[in-house]
Amino acid sequence: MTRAWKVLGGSVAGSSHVKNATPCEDASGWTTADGRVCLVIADGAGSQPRSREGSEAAVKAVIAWASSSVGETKGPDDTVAAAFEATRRTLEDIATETETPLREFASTLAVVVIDDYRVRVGQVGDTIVVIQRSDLSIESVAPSERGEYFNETTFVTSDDWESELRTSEFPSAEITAIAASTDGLQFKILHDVRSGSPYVPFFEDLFTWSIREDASDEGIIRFVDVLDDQSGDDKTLLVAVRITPHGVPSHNSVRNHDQADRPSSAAPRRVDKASGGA
Amino acid sequence: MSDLVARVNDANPNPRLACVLALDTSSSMSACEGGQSPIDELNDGFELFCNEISTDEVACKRVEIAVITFGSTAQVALDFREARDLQPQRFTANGLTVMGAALDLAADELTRQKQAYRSADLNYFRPWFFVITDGQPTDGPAFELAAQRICEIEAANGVNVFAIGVGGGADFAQLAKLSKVRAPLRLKGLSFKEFFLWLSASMATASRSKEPSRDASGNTTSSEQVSLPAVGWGEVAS
Repeated sequence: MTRAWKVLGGSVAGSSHVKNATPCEDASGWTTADGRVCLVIADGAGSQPRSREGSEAAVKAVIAWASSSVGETKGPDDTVAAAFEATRRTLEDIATETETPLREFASTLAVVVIDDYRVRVGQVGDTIVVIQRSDLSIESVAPSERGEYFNETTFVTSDDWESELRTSEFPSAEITAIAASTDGLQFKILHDVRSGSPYVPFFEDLFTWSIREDASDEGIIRFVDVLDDQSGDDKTLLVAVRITPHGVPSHNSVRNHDQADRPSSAAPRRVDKASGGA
Repeated sequence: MSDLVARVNDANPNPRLACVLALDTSSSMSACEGGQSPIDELNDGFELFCNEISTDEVACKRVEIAVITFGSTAQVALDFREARDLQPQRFTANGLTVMGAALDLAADELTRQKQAYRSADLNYFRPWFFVITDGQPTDGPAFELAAQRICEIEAANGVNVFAIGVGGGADFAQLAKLSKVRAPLRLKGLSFKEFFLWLSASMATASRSKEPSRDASGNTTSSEQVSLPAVGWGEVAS
């Protein structure tokens, strides 16, 4: 089934970060294991000293959860909320071990899980998730509600993370493409920033391109990197597109096979110019 | 490998961060103590601020500054303008210290600006308010009421307040009435340049910041607020 989906994308440090030599505080990753795809993106709160560690640890925790909860136990641990619980516990453990207040690891978090039956989404904070349905319509999934002030959001380290967790579910057959982004791209890929409505032409172009045989992580990362984003913020864009099982050139299916066999402890993907490496 | 080409939205306006500075321009600010007068130092510092903030890539399009001066009268010396349009200006000092009138004017400006943002469908950050004085308010009862008004706006999560006293004549007991969250700060000597450089860096940081949502009563611990650069130019007035 995982060969029916293609996943690509990554994170890049924002222009403000590059200028100030602060590292990229966005993190992202995905895993495909045994019948499902899990995407995860996280945006560390720049005002907190260890937010980069927070976002990176969050991504690792979700990937570990996705890899472990597949299998015979499709019980309570398999809910999207459980992924957030697992992340929360991981961050609490790190905070305890390092004798650091939990809030220093503050990060937003979005998780997308795709299996044969359902597409499930969980979000804490100002993450952006957009789907394309089989009728080709494009819509945002549970955009965060804005208060009076533009820069206020919830983090997975916040006390009220659980009540602020937004979960959504769709029949898998209805969905042909999904994109997940942190808020660094919000001014360019949303139609209205306050309501969170998507800028449809962007997603039409993105999803159409992503299906191409020659569309790769680098293509997305390069696009996002050079984009004048009005924010100077770190940027993340992950895309999952449904590849029709029939009529797909053998080269493409070999690529999907490779992705399906990627070790489930895949490291978070990040292009960090400050340190010069991915 | 192909490049991604995709249409993006170029029509989203930048979010706004309003900052009001209320500057004491009473006679004592022009007293020279064997060097530059406080107002000269302030003017030099303000020029630095204008140059710095107007060239910050993100802040220049998000931060909006208004300046109120107060001596024997309080007035808006500079209407709100975007940081990228900010031109240095030299203020002259003469007169009393109607800080109460200045605080009222500042509260009016902050309220009006937020309403203007809402009417124009612009996103905005919580605004900032700085008041700098070297003396004590000469409009006593008006000051009491206005200080309370500022405090109430702060308590309703409406503004970040910084009260700064300069020199031996500043009345920190009065300045303490402006905020329940932050004690007044004493400028070290006449280090206005350092203060204005810090102000520019702080506004630049704030214009990029993400902070936790506050509850309905505006409660959050001060440690959760935007963490600003170190305050080398001043110290908490005891």
